[in-house]
Amino acid sequence: MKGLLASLLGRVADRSLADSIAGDLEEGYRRRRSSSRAGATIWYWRTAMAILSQLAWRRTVDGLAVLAAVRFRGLGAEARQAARSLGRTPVVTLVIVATLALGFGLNTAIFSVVHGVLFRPLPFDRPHEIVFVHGARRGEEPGIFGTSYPDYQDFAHAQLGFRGLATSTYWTFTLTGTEVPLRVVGQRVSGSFFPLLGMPALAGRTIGPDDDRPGGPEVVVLSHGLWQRFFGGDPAVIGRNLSLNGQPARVIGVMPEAFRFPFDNVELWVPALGELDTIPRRSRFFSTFGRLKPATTMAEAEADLTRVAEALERQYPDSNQDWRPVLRAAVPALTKQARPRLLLLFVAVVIVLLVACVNVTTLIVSRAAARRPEFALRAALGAGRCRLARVTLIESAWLGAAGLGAGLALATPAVTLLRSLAPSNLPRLSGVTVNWTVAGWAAAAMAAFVCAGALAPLVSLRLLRLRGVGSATVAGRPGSWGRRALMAGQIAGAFALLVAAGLLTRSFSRVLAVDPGFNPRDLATVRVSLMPPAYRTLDQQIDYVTRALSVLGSTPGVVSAAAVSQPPFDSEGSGTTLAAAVEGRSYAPGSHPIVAYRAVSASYFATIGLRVLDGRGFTDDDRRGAPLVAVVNRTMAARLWPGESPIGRRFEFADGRNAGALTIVGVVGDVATDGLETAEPPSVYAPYPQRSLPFLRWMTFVARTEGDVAAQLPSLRARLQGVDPYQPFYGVGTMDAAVQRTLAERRFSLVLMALFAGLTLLLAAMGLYGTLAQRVAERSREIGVRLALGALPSHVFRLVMAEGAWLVAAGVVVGAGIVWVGMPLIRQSLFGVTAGDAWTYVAIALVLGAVTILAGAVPSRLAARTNPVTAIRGE
Amino acid sequence: MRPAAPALGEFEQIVLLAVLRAGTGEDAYGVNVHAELERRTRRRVARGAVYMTLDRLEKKGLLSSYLTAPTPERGGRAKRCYRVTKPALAALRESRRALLNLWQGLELAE
Repeated sequence: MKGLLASLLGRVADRSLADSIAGDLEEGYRRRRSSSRAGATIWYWRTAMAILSQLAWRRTVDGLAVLAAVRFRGLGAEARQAARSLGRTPVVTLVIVATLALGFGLNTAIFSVVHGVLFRPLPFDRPHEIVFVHGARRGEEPGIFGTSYPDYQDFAHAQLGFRGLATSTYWTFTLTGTEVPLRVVGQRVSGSFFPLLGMPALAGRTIGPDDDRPGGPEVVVLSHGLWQRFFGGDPAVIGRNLSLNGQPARVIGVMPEAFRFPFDNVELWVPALGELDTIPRRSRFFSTFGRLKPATTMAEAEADLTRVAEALERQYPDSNQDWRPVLRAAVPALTKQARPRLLLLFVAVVIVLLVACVNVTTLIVSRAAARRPEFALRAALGAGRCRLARVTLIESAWLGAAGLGAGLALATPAVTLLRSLAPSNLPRLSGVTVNWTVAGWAAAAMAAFVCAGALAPLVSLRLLRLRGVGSATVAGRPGSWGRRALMAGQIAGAFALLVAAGLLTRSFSRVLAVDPGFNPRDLATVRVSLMPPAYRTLDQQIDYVTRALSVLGSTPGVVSAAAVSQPPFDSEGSGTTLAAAVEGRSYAPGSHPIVAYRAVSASYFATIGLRVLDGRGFTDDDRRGAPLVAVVNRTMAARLWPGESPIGRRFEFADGRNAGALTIVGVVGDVATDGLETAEPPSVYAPYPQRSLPFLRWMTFVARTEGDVAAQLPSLRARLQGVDPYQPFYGVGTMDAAVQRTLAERRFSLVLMALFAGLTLLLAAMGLYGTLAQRVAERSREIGVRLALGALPSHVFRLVMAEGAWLVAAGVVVGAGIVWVGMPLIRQSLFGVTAGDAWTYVAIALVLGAVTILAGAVPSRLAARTNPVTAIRGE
Repeated sequence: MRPAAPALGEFEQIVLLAVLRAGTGEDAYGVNVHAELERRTRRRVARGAVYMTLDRLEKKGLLSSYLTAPTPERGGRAKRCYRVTKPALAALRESRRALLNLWQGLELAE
């Protein structure tokens, strides 16, 4: 170890000074050793590290000072000379520029996405003042929604630290008045919604407080996208009357393209008009936001709202027990889901860039090592330190600029590619571009690289200490220690990314292995939303569903068809929950079990292949007016009736919306409703004709088909069209595609992470090969002597291989440190595996072992074949 | 006007004086210069800073150095010993004179 210290000191100070410092340390150690050996050892290493770090820092500062002192008079001639010099080694130059372009290009592309999604401010006036008000049960993390309309009204009434509060909720509309009836996603908004955001309409005006009064005329503001697609960007659309869910609505404005609030898919906004007043306090599916007063902090505003919430809790214990408002800044609130995976990708791509830069720096140092005589000659002819530094700085700048230029050129198509590959639920993707902020980041990274690329040869080859031509041949192995450290750094980066990619791959395979609870193959889905005036009453809706099912069932190729209010792998958020009350049990306010509620047709379980575990499924006899029945899922049965059969038990919904208690007639398995990674909550299925919720107007038809399900979709659509030509459909697709959609985000990060890990590994392998080959060249005399003294070629082979193995081992140790630091970020993306998953590490060990052998084989063989006579004479 | 002596930083002056003190009776080298510095200034001084300053002063021609024979108690390594050069002595004298001039007639209240 002390030998290593002496070697390290030799890197940061002149040999004789380093030697005398090592001697001083030894002397101090021996003096202290007589009183305490352990104390002496601690003193030795502590003092040594302090001296070492100070000298290293001084050396770096000296180098930077020289670079900073470089004057650029006569720059043109020297820049041309540097370009010519780079042109003399075209292969190396090309490899350097290509590596940098890849590093900068990937980095810029991923940073564009990360910046555009996670950091780009909202396009409003003083966007930092906008905060979301979520609701969360005490001790739980809030979701994206979480306030109810009555709670919002009470919060808004109190105002407190806000300039104002506004709310909106997801609402689907059947839009007629266009050529074909259209189903669009919109928001029903409070009158304060647009004034608070402060963004004017592109044409016409926005919704104001005057528009939002019960019974007032319906007005509508269109998104830029809807205006372009269905009204051809016609300015005369303002003032035109449309029909929304059968109600006349006048278009009053069109929003600019950048306005997509609160979600990307919103196509129109209409005022609440008292429609929301009947929604109960328990239904927390409103996105509420506020604009803070300038002097108010988020914590103060949250404390104010908490006081209001406590009063509401006392007043309405049934619905508000344990609920607290939680404030979140707008952008983090909107991007909460995507944040960990995007940040992980960003860290990964930074590692790729670092490894690429280190790789390139090693090449630059090797290139400069070959030019030592040239530097010595320049020094002998009177070139000062600044002059020599200028040479490396200009060359490094050329390489950096070329790499950055090519990288930025790559980044724009890469961003387009990323946008097309990215999962559709990634928020705020539409505004992602390579902008000035992103280019600035890339330029800053390039500047750092240029400094490192200029400094590395100066420091590691001691080019600034050359005094004459003779010194060119003096140094034995210039910079080999530094180069090995850089090499180990590359392995460390590759190891860290391999671990991340490995764990993500294992998680993905675990997700795929999850049983969805039904058979998603050969299932087609079509969604409808049965809105007034055609489907005002339950009878009208039942009639439509019955006719549609009979038409679908008789379609050639369809084995069976069914309807459900919330299908598995539901990406539309069509679920509803209710508070259940089991007959004969008493509940404290707010302690009712919350269950998911689904209305289904009698054939649903058989159609999707969901097994009835106990009791029976539904039949056509479970019609309107017949005794109310329900089927529950396994989780609900286990949770509410542990250890006993729930068949025959009765329960009702605490809201009292249905005519009475439901009798449980069957138990079915759990299905993957919210993707494979989320366990299904306790769920109740009820026959569609007996459904408890009048507002549950949306249905999904599922049809099991024979043969290619995708090919059947057009005929299914056409048959349904025949049932009611004015009823729009959406979500036409296959269940398999829905499954893939829920996997898209995980697949996206996995593919990118695997790409980054592979690239880094390739760079590290190239670096390892280069380092070992260089070492063999430097040690040719030593190897020659060993062979001349009787060493077998196999010994020499092992000697070089061992050096490679040591480098990889050192890299793995450092890489393990990086993984340890980054583990909190990785852990959030894991599923079914732990961070210490043994198989992942075994696989990585095998990969790194193979890389070591592949990269080390050629230099080791060359070393083993060294001709001792030539090697010794050559020196 | 006297010929200008090289300008000295505060820490450089302190190190030169410590070399002079440590060098009376024995060779002045890293260990005893550092010890002298800490004892006289009554403050913690980083060893790295002392080594860097000794190196810099030598490069400026204010110190000269020589190596002693390697000894076992130093792990077979030589000791680098320092001597203050004439220009350094002139610079120290100059600095002292300037300081005394500045202090003359000044009384700072405690």
